[in-house]
Formats: sequence, C-alpha cells, structure tokens
Amino acid sequence: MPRKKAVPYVLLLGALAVLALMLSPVGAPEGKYEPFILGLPYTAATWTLGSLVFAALGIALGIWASRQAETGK
Amino acid sequence: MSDLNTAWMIGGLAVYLAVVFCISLIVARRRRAKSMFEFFSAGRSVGSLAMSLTMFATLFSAFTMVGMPGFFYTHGVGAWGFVVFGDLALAFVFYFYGIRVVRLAREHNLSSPIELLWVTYRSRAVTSAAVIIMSVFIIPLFAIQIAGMGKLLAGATAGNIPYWAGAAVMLAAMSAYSLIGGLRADIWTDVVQGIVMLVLVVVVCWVFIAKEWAGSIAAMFEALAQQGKGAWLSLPGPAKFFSLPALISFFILFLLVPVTFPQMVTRFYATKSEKVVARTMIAFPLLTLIMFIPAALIGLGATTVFDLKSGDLVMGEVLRRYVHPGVAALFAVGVIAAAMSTADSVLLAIGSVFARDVYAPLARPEASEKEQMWAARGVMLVLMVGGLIVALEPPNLIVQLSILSLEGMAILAPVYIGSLTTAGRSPAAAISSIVVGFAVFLACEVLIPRPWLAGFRSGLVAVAAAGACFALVATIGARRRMAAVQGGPRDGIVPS
Repeated sequence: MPRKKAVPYVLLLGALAVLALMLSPVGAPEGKYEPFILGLPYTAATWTLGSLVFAALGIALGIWASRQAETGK
Repeated sequence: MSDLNTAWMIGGLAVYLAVVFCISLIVARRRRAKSMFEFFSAGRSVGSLAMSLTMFATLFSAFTMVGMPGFFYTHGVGAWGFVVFGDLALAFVFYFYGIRVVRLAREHNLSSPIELLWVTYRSRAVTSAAVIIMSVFIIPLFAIQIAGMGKLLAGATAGNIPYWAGAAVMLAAMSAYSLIGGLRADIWTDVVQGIVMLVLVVVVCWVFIAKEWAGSIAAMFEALAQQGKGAWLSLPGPAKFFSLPALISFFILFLLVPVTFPQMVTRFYATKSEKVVARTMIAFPLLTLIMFIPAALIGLGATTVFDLKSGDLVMGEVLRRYVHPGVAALFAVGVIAAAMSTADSVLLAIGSVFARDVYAPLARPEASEKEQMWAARGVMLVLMVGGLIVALEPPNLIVQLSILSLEGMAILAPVYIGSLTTAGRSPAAAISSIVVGFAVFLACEVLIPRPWLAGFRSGLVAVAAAGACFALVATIGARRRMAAVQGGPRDGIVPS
C-alpha cells in the first residue's frame, strides 16, 4: 500500500488503541474518589483525555481527507 | 419545566418559528424545488458549514438536550462512554463510508436512501425488505418526536398550550417548510436549530456553574469528592448500569447510524463535493464535545445540589432555579428545535423513499418526475396526519419501536456496507442478511432470556448475525459464479 493511502488506516489504528485505553476502566474496582490526574479519578480522567485524543484523530483524518480532495487524489 | 412563564414561551416560540419560516421562504424563492434532484437532494450544492450543522442537528434529538444531563445525574460518567465515544468516532465512518456514498450518489443521480441499494443490488426484493425495516423502526420515531414536542409545550406552559394544540402547531410548521422547500429548507432550518441547541446548552451550563461554584469546574468536582460520590465518576456507575458489553454495543450501534438511518444517508447525497464531507469530519468531533461537555457538567454537578426522584427532572430543576425565565423558555424552544430537526428530516426521507422506491417502480412505472414529487408530498401529508393521530395517544408498541429504532435499523448495516464493495453486491446475501437479522433481533427481544446475551444489546447480536449471514452467502455466491465461469467453457456450455 502506498504510504499516503495508509494514513487513514494508521489514524484508525490509533483511534482503536485510544478506545481500548478508554474502555480499560470498565470493571475496575472503583467507587471511591481517588484522584488520578487533573484531580479526577481514573475513569473520568482517562475518558476526558482519551476523548480529546479521539476527537483530535478524527479531526486529523478530516484535514488529511480535505487536502486529498483538494488535490483530487 | 412546569414553572416556565407562558408568555416567554409563546414569545420565544413565535420568534423561532418566524426565523425558521423566513429562512425556508428565502431558500424556496432563491432555488425553487421544482425537480426531484432539487427537492430531495438540495441540488447537491450544500457546503461544509451547513452540512456539519445539519448532520449535528439531525443526529442529536431532544433526548440529547434533556435526557443526557439526566443520564449523567442517574448513572454518572459512564453516560459519556454510552454516547460520546460513538459520536466522536463518526469522523471515521464519514471517511470510510460517507465519501463513497457521495461518489455513488453523483454517479447514479441518487435521491432516496433506498436507491443506493437498488443501483448496487438491482433487486426489488432487497429494496422492499429495506423499506419494510425502515417503516417499522423509523415511522414510530417520527410519531414520538411529535408527541415529545406536544408534551414539552404543555409541560412548559403548565397546560396553557394544550398537548394536542402544541403537537399540531409544531407539526404543521415543520411540514409546511419541508413541503415547500424540500431538503434545502430542511438543511437550512437545521443550521438554525443546531446553533440554537449548542448556544443554549452552553449558556445554561455556564450560568449553573457560575452561580453554584463561582464558575469553577474544579470546585464542582471537589464537591462531588466531599460528598463521597466517587461512584458517579467511575464505572459501572452508582446503579451499576454500565458494563463492557453494554458500552461496546452502544459504541457500534451509534457508529452505524449514518450508515442506515435514511435521514443521514440523504444528507450525504446533498453535499457539494467530497471535500465537504472531509470538512464535516473536522467539525463534527468539535460540535459533539461542545454539546456533551455541558450536558455532563450539568448532570454531574446536579448530583451535588439536587435530590430528585428521576434524572428526567434535572434540566427542569436547573432552569427553574438558576436561569432567567426568558432563557428557560428559550431552552424549551431549543429542545423543540432539536425534535423538529430530527422529525423533519425523517419526514422528507420517508417521502423520498415512498415516491422513488414504492410508488414509481411498483405502482406507476410511467410516473413523471413531477408526479413522483406530488406522490412524495402526498405521503408526507398522510404521515403528518397519521403522526398526529398516533402522537395524541401513542400505543405502547409505537413507543417501544421508537426506543428500539437505533438497534432495529442497524440490521440494514451489512446490506448498506456490502453495497459499497464489488464482492458484496449479491442480492441473495442482502435479502438473507435482512431476514436473519430481523429474526435474530425479534428472538433476542421476545424469546431469549436477557442473561443469555451476556450484557450485549439485541441490536448488536442481530447485526452480527446479519453480517455473518451476508458474508457467508456472498462468499458462496462468488465461489459458484467463479466455478461457473471456469467450468463453463471446459464443459462446452456457453453461458447465455
């Protein structure tokens, strides 16, 4: 596969990895408020950061696709 | 929201409807919807901003504005995973699915969402099965949106606007601009509706946090910690609602919405170019975060200050206690705008399906474009009247089907996705996938005990079964075709 055509798939893999990280708190023995990062416990913190990264990957794909459409590729 | 001032409510609604009508009239005067192409596909000329906002307004219904804060209040942060993960990932669906649909729509001049299946499978059995599934799950969704608007108006004005009158007025307004201006009017009113939704959710959240915690989000989380409400910030939540299978189910089901929901597919048809879809991919995650961060903050913050019987009461309580009655009334108008933007899109999509995929090919093959447009308008009128009658007292079955629309429509996903691949264009695979998917969905909902599904939603089990069936039948068909091609000449038989 040409390097350029691999970009969406690399971003998709990144999104799946972030998603796996975000789903990792499921089933963790939480319930107490134990700050992990930004004063938030593990689930809320990973979901906040993970969602931002997830959104950024989607936006990056949009920017890449937009440039591809401009150049007609 | 029962304490809202009726005068504010009626005033806000009148201004909103006037704005929406002006927009639809301007749109209709500038570009008259005289052809099918213009009426159902907005002349394939919709740009990036309008496309982003119409996708947003169509996808997020009144539930997002009222139900989501309530969901965070009741079940904690798990509600984020329930909806937002799937919505953030839609950029990938727009790329891998939407752009291909845009290309096909241009190539085959598509107007109705079912036509995508016709041009690829060339089978009336497939399109008829898809129309049946769509009618079962999408028409009830339309009726329930009407009922929701009537109930909200009655509740917000303490009954001063009767339920039936509210539902009838909103339905008439929505139908008028849809019938006159077609998809273009729908899209531009969606733009207004989307902006109204976003601004009001942000304003109400900002006022709530400012008044209760002096504008400090960190102070709000500290309040949660001090009250020992860690369960609201972790999984599976205070009511142990969120499990891994449930989250995976909803994530996948939300991803399939732009693939199968007719009102979303028709929006891909209306885009000016592939670049518009690409730019929508940039805007959509941002719009999702702008919508859901306030919803999460309102719901989680409310757990520290209210003790309510139901999460559904959260928004009403926040509006009553913290914001000016005028803003509260505007918020109610925003909720109605959210319901309208979903319902008008459904109305138009169903009109296009019945004109292009039922009336023209099955009843009147010789029907002209103009006749098909009038048939579509006729179906929309029938749907309006029927929707109002059903909305006055929704039967339990209709309510249940509308709740199940997200899962039920997913049954069509393998057929839509398969239509974009050369190998998957097998009518036998498509029809068997729809039949198996529907049968499995019914079995999961009615016959199979819940524990047997191991926490997965019936819709996901059904779409997995439908997908497996599609792949199996398509593969067998492809192998047979290959064998026939290879074996034919050796046997001396020339295929006709």
